[in-house]
Amino acid sequence: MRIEYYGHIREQTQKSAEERITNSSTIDALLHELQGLYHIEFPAQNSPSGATPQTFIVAVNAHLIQPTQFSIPNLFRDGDTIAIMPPFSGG
Amino acid sequence: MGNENQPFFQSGVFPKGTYTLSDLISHLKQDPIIKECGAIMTFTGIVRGVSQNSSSKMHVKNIHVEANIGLANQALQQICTDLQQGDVKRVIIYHGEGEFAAGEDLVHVIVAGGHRHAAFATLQQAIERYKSTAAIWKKEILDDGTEQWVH
Repeated sequence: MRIEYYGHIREQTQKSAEERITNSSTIDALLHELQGLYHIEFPAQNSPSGATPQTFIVAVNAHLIQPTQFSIPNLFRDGDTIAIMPPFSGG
Repeated sequence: MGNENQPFFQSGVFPKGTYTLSDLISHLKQDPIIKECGAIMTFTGIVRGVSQNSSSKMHVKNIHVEANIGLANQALQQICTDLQQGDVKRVIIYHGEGEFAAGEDLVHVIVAGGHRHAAFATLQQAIERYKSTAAIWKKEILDDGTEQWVH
Protein backbone atom coordinates (compact mmCIF):
# COMPACT_ATOMS: atom_id res chain seq x y z
CA MET A 1 0.00 0.00 0.00
CA ARG A 2 0.99 3.62 -0.32
CA ILE A 3 1.37 5.70 2.82
CA GLU A 4 1.47 9.49 2.55
CA TYR A 5 2.73 11.84 5.25
CA TYR A 6 1.94 15.53 5.61
CA GLY A 7 3.06 18.56 7.62
CA HIS A 8 5.24 17.91 10.65
CA ILE A 9 4.65 14.15 10.28
CA ARG A 10 6.27 14.31 6.81
CA GLU A 11 9.23 16.10 8.37
CA GLN A 12 9.54 13.45 11.09
CA THR A 13 9.46 10.54 8.64
CA GLN A 14 11.64 12.52 6.21
CA LYS A 15 9.48 11.34 3.32
CA SER A 16 6.23 12.47 1.75
CA ALA A 17 5.17 8.97 0.70
CA GLU A 18 6.29 5.37 0.64
CA GLU A 19 5.14 2.00 -0.64
CA ARG A 20 4.84 -0.39 2.26
CA ILE A 21 3.95 -4.03 2.78
CA THR A 22 2.39 -4.60 6.18
CA ASN A 23 0.80 -7.34 8.22
CA SER A 24 -1.14 -4.75 10.24
CA SER A 25 -4.87 -5.18 9.77
CA THR A 26 -6.08 -2.14 11.74
CA ILE A 27 -5.17 1.55 11.70
CA ASP A 28 -4.09 1.22 15.34
CA ALA A 29 -1.68 -1.59 14.47
CA LEU A 30 -0.33 0.29 11.46
CA LEU A 31 0.25 3.42 13.55
CA HIS A 32 2.02 1.32 16.17
CA GLU A 33 4.24 -0.12 13.44
CA LEU A 34 5.10 3.35 12.09
CA GLN A 35 5.62 4.71 15.59
CA GLY A 36 8.33 2.11 16.17
CA LEU A 37 9.90 2.72 12.79
CA TYR A 38 10.01 6.52 12.81
CA HIS A 39 9.85 7.30 16.53
CA ILE A 40 6.70 9.36 16.07
CA GLU A 41 4.11 9.68 18.81
CA PHE A 42 0.59 8.72 17.73
CA PRO A 43 -1.22 9.08 21.07
CA ALA A 44 -4.45 7.12 21.51
CA GLN A 45 -7.35 9.36 20.58
CA ASN A 46 -10.31 7.07 20.52
CA SER A 47 -11.86 8.51 23.67
CA PRO A 48 -15.62 7.86 23.35
CA SER A 49 -16.33 11.30 24.81
CA GLY A 50 -14.25 12.92 22.09
CA ALA A 51 -12.75 15.07 24.85
CA THR A 52 -9.18 14.46 23.74
CA PRO A 53 -8.20 16.89 20.99
CA GLN A 54 -7.16 15.07 17.82
CA THR A 55 -3.44 15.25 17.25
CA PHE A 56 -3.46 13.51 13.89
CA ILE A 57 -5.94 12.50 11.17
CA VAL A 58 -6.04 9.38 9.00
CA ALA A 59 -7.67 8.92 5.60
CA VAL A 60 -7.95 5.76 3.50
CA ASN A 61 -8.42 6.40 -0.22
CA ALA A 62 -9.44 10.01 0.53
CA HIS A 63 -12.06 8.98 3.12
CA LEU A 64 -11.47 10.31 6.61
CA ILE A 65 -11.40 7.59 9.28
CA GLN A 66 -12.81 8.41 12.71
CA PRO A 67 -10.58 7.51 15.68
CA THR A 68 -13.31 5.16 16.95
CA GLN A 69 -12.74 3.10 13.77
CA PHE A 70 -8.99 2.72 14.26
CA SER A 71 -9.40 -0.71 15.87
CA ILE A 72 -11.72 -2.09 13.18
CA PRO A 73 -9.93 -4.74 11.05
CA ASN A 74 -9.67 -4.63 7.26
CA LEU A 75 -10.48 -0.97 6.65
CA PHE A 76 -7.61 -1.02 4.14
CA ARG A 77 -5.91 -3.52 1.87
CA ASP A 78 -3.09 -3.83 -0.65
CA GLY A 79 -3.20 -1.08 -3.24
CA ASP A 80 -4.91 1.42 -0.96
CA THR A 81 -3.52 4.86 -0.12
CA ILE A 82 -3.39 5.85 3.52
CA ALA A 83 -2.75 9.49 4.45
CA ILE A 84 -1.46 10.35 7.90
CA MET A 85 -1.94 14.03 8.60
CA PRO A 86 -1.75 16.64 11.38
CA PRO A 87 -4.96 18.49 12.33
CA PHE A 88 -5.93 20.89 9.56
CA SER A 89 -4.82 24.53 9.83
CA GLY A 90 -5.63 26.22 6.55
CA GLY A 91 -6.04 29.90 5.77
CA MET B 1 -11.38 28.21 -15.38
CA GLY B 2 -14.16 25.97 -16.64
CA ASN B 3 -16.03 25.12 -19.83
CA GLU B 4 -19.53 23.98 -20.79
CA ASN B 5 -19.02 20.56 -19.24
CA GLN B 6 -17.60 21.77 -15.95
CA PRO B 7 -18.88 24.00 -13.16
CA PHE B 8 -18.17 27.65 -13.92
CA PHE B 9 -15.77 27.63 -10.96
CA GLN B 10 -14.02 24.66 -9.40
CA SER B 11 -12.92 25.67 -5.91
CA GLY B 12 -9.72 24.16 -4.60
CA VAL B 13 -6.04 24.55 -3.74
CA PHE B 14 -3.87 26.14 -6.42
CA PRO B 15 -0.19 27.10 -6.67
CA LYS B 16 0.65 30.59 -5.51
CA GLY B 17 0.63 33.16 -8.28
CA THR B 18 -1.83 31.37 -10.57
CA TYR B 19 -4.79 33.66 -9.80
CA THR B 20 -5.71 36.93 -8.09
CA LEU B 21 -8.89 38.12 -6.39
CA SER B 22 -9.39 40.44 -9.34
CA ASP B 23 -9.17 37.47 -11.79
CA LEU B 24 -11.74 35.56 -9.78
CA ILE B 25 -14.21 38.45 -9.60
CA SER B 26 -13.81 39.18 -13.31
CA HIS B 27 -14.49 35.54 -14.14
CA LEU B 28 -17.47 35.41 -11.78
CA LYS B 29 -18.99 38.41 -13.52
CA GLN B 30 -19.03 36.41 -16.75
CA ASP B 31 -21.15 33.70 -15.13
CA PRO B 32 -24.74 34.00 -16.45
CA ILE B 33 -26.04 33.53 -12.88
CA ILE B 34 -24.60 36.92 -11.94
CA LYS B 35 -27.72 38.49 -13.47
CA GLU B 36 -29.62 37.21 -10.42
CA CYS B 37 -27.09 38.66 -7.97
CA GLY B 38 -27.11 41.99 -6.19
CA ALA B 39 -24.06 41.44 -3.99
CA ILE B 40 -20.58 39.94 -4.10
CA MET B 41 -18.89 39.44 -0.70
CA THR B 42 -15.22 38.55 -0.45
CA PHE B 43 -12.87 37.43 2.31
CA THR B 44 -9.11 37.39 1.83
CA GLY B 45 -6.92 35.60 4.36
CA ILE B 46 -3.39 37.01 4.37
CA VAL B 47 -0.14 35.98 6.02
CA ARG B 48 0.05 37.49 9.50
CA GLY B 49 3.41 39.18 10.07
CA VAL B 50 3.57 38.21 13.73
CA SER B 51 3.81 34.59 14.88
CA GLN B 52 0.59 32.88 15.94
CA ASN B 53 2.45 31.10 18.73
CA SER B 54 1.18 32.93 21.81
CA SER B 55 4.43 32.42 23.69
CA SER B 56 6.31 34.67 21.29
CA LYS B 57 5.66 37.75 19.19
CA MET B 58 8.33 36.93 16.66
CA HIS B 59 8.10 38.35 13.18
CA VAL B 60 7.12 35.96 10.43
CA LYS B 61 9.33 36.12 7.35
CA ASN B 62 7.56 33.48 5.25
CA ILE B 63 4.86 30.92 5.51
CA HIS B 64 4.92 27.50 3.88
CA VAL B 65 1.52 26.11 2.89
CA GLU B 66 1.01 22.51 1.89
CA ALA B 67 -2.10 20.44 1.25
CA ASN B 68 -3.38 16.98 0.58
CA ILE B 69 -4.78 18.24 -2.71
CA GLY B 70 -7.33 15.48 -3.24
CA LEU B 71 -8.81 15.72 0.24
CA ALA B 72 -8.62 19.51 0.40
CA ASN B 73 -10.30 20.01 -2.98
CA GLN B 74 -13.01 17.55 -2.02
CA ALA B 75 -13.70 19.48 1.21
CA LEU B 76 -13.64 22.93 -0.43
CA GLN B 77 -15.97 21.85 -3.24
CA GLN B 78 -18.33 20.21 -0.74
CA ILE B 79 -18.55 23.45 1.27
CA CYS B 80 -19.43 25.38 -1.88
CA THR B 81 -22.04 22.84 -2.96
CA ASP B 82 -23.63 22.78 0.50
CA LEU B 83 -23.80 26.56 0.89
CA GLN B 84 -24.87 27.42 -2.66
CA GLN B 85 -28.64 27.42 -2.22
CA GLY B 86 -31.61 29.75 -2.23
CA ASP B 87 -30.54 33.38 -2.47
CA VAL B 88 -26.85 32.38 -2.45
CA LYS B 89 -25.96 31.74 -6.08
CA ARG B 90 -22.21 31.13 -6.00
CA VAL B 91 -19.67 30.20 -3.32
CA ILE B 92 -16.03 30.04 -4.39
CA ILE B 93 -12.95 29.18 -2.33
CA TYR B 94 -9.44 29.46 -3.76
CA HIS B 95 -6.63 28.53 -1.38
CA GLY B 96 -2.97 29.02 -2.24
CA GLU B 97 -0.14 26.53 -1.86
CA GLY B 98 3.58 27.25 -1.74
CA GLU B 99 5.76 29.87 -0.05
CA PHE B 100 4.21 33.21 0.96
CA ALA B 101 5.69 36.37 2.45
CA ALA B 102 4.03 38.30 5.29
CA GLY B 103 1.09 40.27 3.97
CA GLU B 104 0.54 38.12 0.87
CA ASP B 105 -2.86 36.63 0.06
CA LEU B 106 -3.37 33.03 1.19
CA VAL B 107 -7.03 32.39 0.51
CA HIS B 108 -10.02 34.01 -1.15
CA VAL B 109 -13.64 33.21 -0.34
CA ILE B 110 -16.24 34.79 -2.60
CA VAL B 111 -20.00 34.64 -2.22
CA ALA B 112 -22.43 36.04 -4.78
CA GLY B 113 -26.05 36.33 -3.81
CA GLY B 114 -29.33 37.98 -4.59
CA HIS B 115 -29.10 40.17 -1.49
CA ARG B 116 -26.46 41.08 1.08
CA HIS B 117 -27.85 39.43 4.24
CA ALA B 118 -27.67 35.82 3.07
CA ALA B 119 -24.35 36.45 1.34
CA PHE B 120 -22.76 37.87 4.51
CA ALA B 121 -23.91 34.93 6.64
CA THR B 122 -22.76 32.41 4.05
CA LEU B 123 -19.36 34.03 3.76
CA GLN B 124 -18.77 33.51 7.48
CA GLN B 125 -19.97 29.91 7.36
CA ALA B 126 -17.70 29.13 4.42
CA ILE B 127 -14.67 30.58 6.24
CA GLU B 128 -15.33 28.61 9.43
CA ARG B 129 -15.86 25.39 7.49
CA TYR B 130 -12.76 25.52 5.31
CA LYS B 131 -10.57 26.19 8.33
CA SER B 132 -11.72 23.03 10.08
CA THR B 133 -12.32 20.62 7.19
CA ALA B 134 -9.76 21.31 4.44
CA ALA B 135 -6.56 19.25 4.55
CA ILE B 136 -4.19 22.23 4.48
CA TRP B 137 -1.27 23.05 6.80
CA LYS B 138 0.87 26.14 7.45
CA LYS B 139 4.40 26.47 8.76
CA GLU B 140 5.79 29.80 9.90
CA ILE B 141 9.42 30.63 9.13
CA LEU B 142 10.43 33.32 11.62
CA ASP B 143 12.93 36.14 11.21
CA ASP B 144 15.47 34.28 13.34
CA GLY B 145 15.25 31.23 11.06
CA THR B 146 13.22 29.01 13.40
CA GLU B 147 10.26 27.14 11.92
CA GLN B 148 7.00 26.15 13.54
CA TRP B 149 3.85 24.47 12.30
CA VAL B 150 0.67 26.38 13.06
CA HIS B 151 -1.97 24.31 14.83
